[in-house]
Amino acid sequence: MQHRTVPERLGEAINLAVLILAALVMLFPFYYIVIVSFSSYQDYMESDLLLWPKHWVLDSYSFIFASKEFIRSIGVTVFITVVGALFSLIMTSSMGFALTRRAWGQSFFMFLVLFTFIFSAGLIPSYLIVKETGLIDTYWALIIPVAINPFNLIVMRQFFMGIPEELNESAVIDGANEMQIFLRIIIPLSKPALAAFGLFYAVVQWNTYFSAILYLNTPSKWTVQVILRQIVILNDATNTLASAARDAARSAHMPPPETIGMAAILLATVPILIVYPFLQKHFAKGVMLGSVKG
Amino acid sequence: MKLNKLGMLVVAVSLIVGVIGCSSGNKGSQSSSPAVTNSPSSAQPSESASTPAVPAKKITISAITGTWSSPIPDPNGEGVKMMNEKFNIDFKPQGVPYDEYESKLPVVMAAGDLPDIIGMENVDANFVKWARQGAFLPLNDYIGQYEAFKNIPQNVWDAVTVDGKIYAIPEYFPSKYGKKPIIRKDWLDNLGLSMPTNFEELKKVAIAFTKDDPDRNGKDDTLGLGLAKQIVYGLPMGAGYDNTWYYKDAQGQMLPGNLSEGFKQQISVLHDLYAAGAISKDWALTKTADARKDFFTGKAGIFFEQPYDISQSRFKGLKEANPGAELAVIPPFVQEDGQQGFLSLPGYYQVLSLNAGMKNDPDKINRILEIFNYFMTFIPPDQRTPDNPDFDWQRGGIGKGYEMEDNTAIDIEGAASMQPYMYLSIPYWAPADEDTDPAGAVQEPFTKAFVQSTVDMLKTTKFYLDPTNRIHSDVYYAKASELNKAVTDYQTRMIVGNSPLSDWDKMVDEYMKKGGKEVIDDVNKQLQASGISGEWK
Repeated sequence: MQHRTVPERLGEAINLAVLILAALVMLFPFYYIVIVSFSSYQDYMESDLLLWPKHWVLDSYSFIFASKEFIRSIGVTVFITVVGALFSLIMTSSMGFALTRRAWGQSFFMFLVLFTFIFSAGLIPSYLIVKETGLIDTYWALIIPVAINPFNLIVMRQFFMGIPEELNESAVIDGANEMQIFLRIIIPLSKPALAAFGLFYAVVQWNTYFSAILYLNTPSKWTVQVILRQIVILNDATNTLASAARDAARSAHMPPPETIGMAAILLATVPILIVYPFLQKHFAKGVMLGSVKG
Repeated sequence: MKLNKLGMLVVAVSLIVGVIGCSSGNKGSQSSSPAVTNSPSSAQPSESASTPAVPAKKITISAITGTWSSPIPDPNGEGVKMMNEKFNIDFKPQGVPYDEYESKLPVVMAAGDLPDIIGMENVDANFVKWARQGAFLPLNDYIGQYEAFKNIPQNVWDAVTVDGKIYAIPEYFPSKYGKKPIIRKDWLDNLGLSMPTNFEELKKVAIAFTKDDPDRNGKDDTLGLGLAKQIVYGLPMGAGYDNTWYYKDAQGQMLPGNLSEGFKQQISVLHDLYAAGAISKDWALTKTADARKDFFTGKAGIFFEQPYDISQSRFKGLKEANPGAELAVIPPFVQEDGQQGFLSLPGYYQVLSLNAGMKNDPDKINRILEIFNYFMTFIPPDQRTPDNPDFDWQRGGIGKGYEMEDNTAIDIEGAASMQPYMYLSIPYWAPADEDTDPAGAVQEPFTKAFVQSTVDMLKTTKFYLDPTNRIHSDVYYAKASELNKAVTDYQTRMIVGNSPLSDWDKMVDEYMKKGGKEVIDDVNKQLQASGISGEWK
C-alpha cells in the first residue's frame, strides 16, 4: 500500500462516491424489473413505485414457463447461440488468419470486408440472397449470413499479427503447413481473443429477433426474443393513436399484466449474464486485443 | 497499476455496449402491421346452406397474414388438417406477429414471394400502391355470388376500392362500438348532479368530481377526467367535436376535424379543466394504460371505453374496490347544426386480398372466396353451440377446441391449433351491430350490465361516416400523420397553457403552409370525383 496524502485520499473518496452513485443509477432499472417480476399484479397496480415486493410470487414466471412455445424457443435459441457462436468463431478466426498471410488477393479481400463494414445493402437485398440460397425457414438463415462481423474480423486479424513472427517461422522450419500453424500455434495463443469474440457472437445470437421473424416462416422455429416480445407487446397499451379496432383486437387476447413483461425481460437477459463470469478470466486479457505486441 | 485496470474496465464496458448496441440494430421494426388476419382460407363448408359439394381437385392455397394471437396457431395443426379435409386443399398458412408485419410484408412483396392470400391490417398507402402496381386481383366480377358478402355495406366496399376496382375482402368490425365516453354515475348521484348534456355542464361535473369528494371517503383523491398524452382520448362528445372530416369552409371544402370550431371547443374545455385541476398535471406524459388505470382504480370519474372485446378483469376490479360504482355512457351532445351523434368507426378491421397471379384460374379464385364466404356467414349468437355443425366445426369440435360454459362457447386455452377458425380469423359479418350481442360474450355481471346498457343506448344513436375512409388520397397518406402530430403538439400546449387558445388561427395557418393545403385540396378532389360526402346513419 502506497502512502497517500490527505488530498489524494479525498480525491479518491470523491471518485468512489461518484462511481457508486453512477453504478446505483444504472443498476436501479434492473433492480426494479426484478422486484416487479416477483410481485403480484394486484400489488403492482396499487402502488405507484414498488421498491420491495409486498408478497413474493412466482405468478409471472409460471405463466411464461407454462407456454410450450417459450420452452421450445429457449431450445432453439440455445442451439443457434452455441452453434452460431462456434461457427462464427471458426469462420472469423480462419479468415482473420488467412488475411495475415501475404498472398494474392489479400488487399482485395480486406477491401471487401471494410466495404461491408461501412455500407449495408438493406433489408430487401438481404432477404433476396437468403431466399435464393434456399435458406428461408431454416435455422442456418440465422447463422450463416451473420457469421462474420467485419469489426471482429479486423480486430482478430490484428491480434494474430501481434503474435511474434518468429513462432511462425520456427514452425515452418519444422515443416508445418499453414493449417498446422493455424491449429497448433495461433489458436492456442489466441484463447483470450476467442473467448471475447465468442461471447460477443453469443450475445448477438441470443438477441436474434428481427431476422427470426423475417426469415423464419414457421412460428415453432422462432427464438426466445420473439416469443418474449409477443408477450410484452400484447400488454403494451402505449400505442395511443391505434385505431379502436386494433385496440379491441389486441385486448381480445387478454393481455398479461406488466409484471409478466418484466419477467420476460429478465429471462431474456439473465442467461447471458450467467455465462459472462465463466469467460471473464479470458475476457480480461482479450480486451487488450491487437494493441500490444507480445 | 490501478489506472491500467480501470482503463481496461472502461474499454471492456464500451466494447460490450458497442456490440450489444450494434446487435440491437437488427430490430428495425415499427409497430402496427398491415391488416389481415391469419390463415388462408379454402374449402367450402359442406353442411351449411352456402356450400356446394367438395370439389374433386385438390389445390394448394398459401397465405400470409398478421395476427395478434399469441401463440400463433401451428401451421401443421389439427385445425389445418380439418380445413384440408373439408375443402380438399393443401393449406399453407403463415402467421406473422403484427408487431413486425409492417416490416416483413413489404420485404416479402418486393422479393416476389407472394402467397395466394395476402392479409393487411388496414387500407393504407401500401395497399393502394400495391393494388395499383397489380399485385392484387380485382374482385368486382366475383363477389356477387356470395351471400355473406351481401351484408357488407357500401361505405366499407368503398374503402377497399381503388380506381373503381375492389381489391380486397374486408373483415367485419362493428362501427358503433368504438370507445365512448363513460362516467361514474354513482358520483353524479352522490353529488346530486345530472348527466351532462353540453360542455358547460360537463365542465361543472368534472370540477365537482375533483373538488367535492364524490366517492365520499373524506379524502381529496379524485380527478374529474382521465387524459393521456397526445390528447387521448380527449372529449369528443359527438362527431362535430371529433377529429373527422365534418365541417366545410366558406368555399365548400371539407376540413379535417382537428382544425374545426367544434374541436376548438373541446380543446378549450380541456384547457379550463386543466387549469382547475380536474385533469392530472402530468397528463401530457401519461400513457393511455395509466390513464385507464386511474379510472378503473376509482381515481378519475370520466374516461373512455368500448362495449366490445374488453377486459372483464378491469371492470371486476373496479366493482370490488368500489362496491357502489355505477357506470353509464354519456350521450352525445347536441351540436350547433342540430345534429347529435358519435363518429362511426370505419366498419372493418383487416382485409384479405388475392394474389393477382391467379387471374387465369377462376376455379381457384372461387374456391378461396367460397372459403371466405363460409367463415363469414353469420351465425346468430344463440346458435353458437355444438348443435350448429358449422359453428362446432369452425371451433374445432366440442371438448377439443372449445367448451360450453353457461351457454357460451369458451375456447380451450392452448387449443388454438385445433380450431380452423383461428387461421384466417374471419369474423361473421353481422347484419347489424346489435346482432353480435356483445353482452352475451361477457360473463362478469358488472361488465355485462355495462355492455348491455351501452349497446341499448347506441342502438338508437346516430353515427357519422367519415368520408375519407372511403377514398384514397396519396397526399393524405403521405402527409397526414406528420401534420396531425404537429397539430396535436400545438393543442397540447394550448391545454397546458403554454400557448393561448387565440393562437388557433396561427396553428391552422402553419398546418396549411406545411402541406395541409395540398392535403385538403386533394382529399376534396377525390371526394368530388367519387361523389362521396359525409353521411349520417
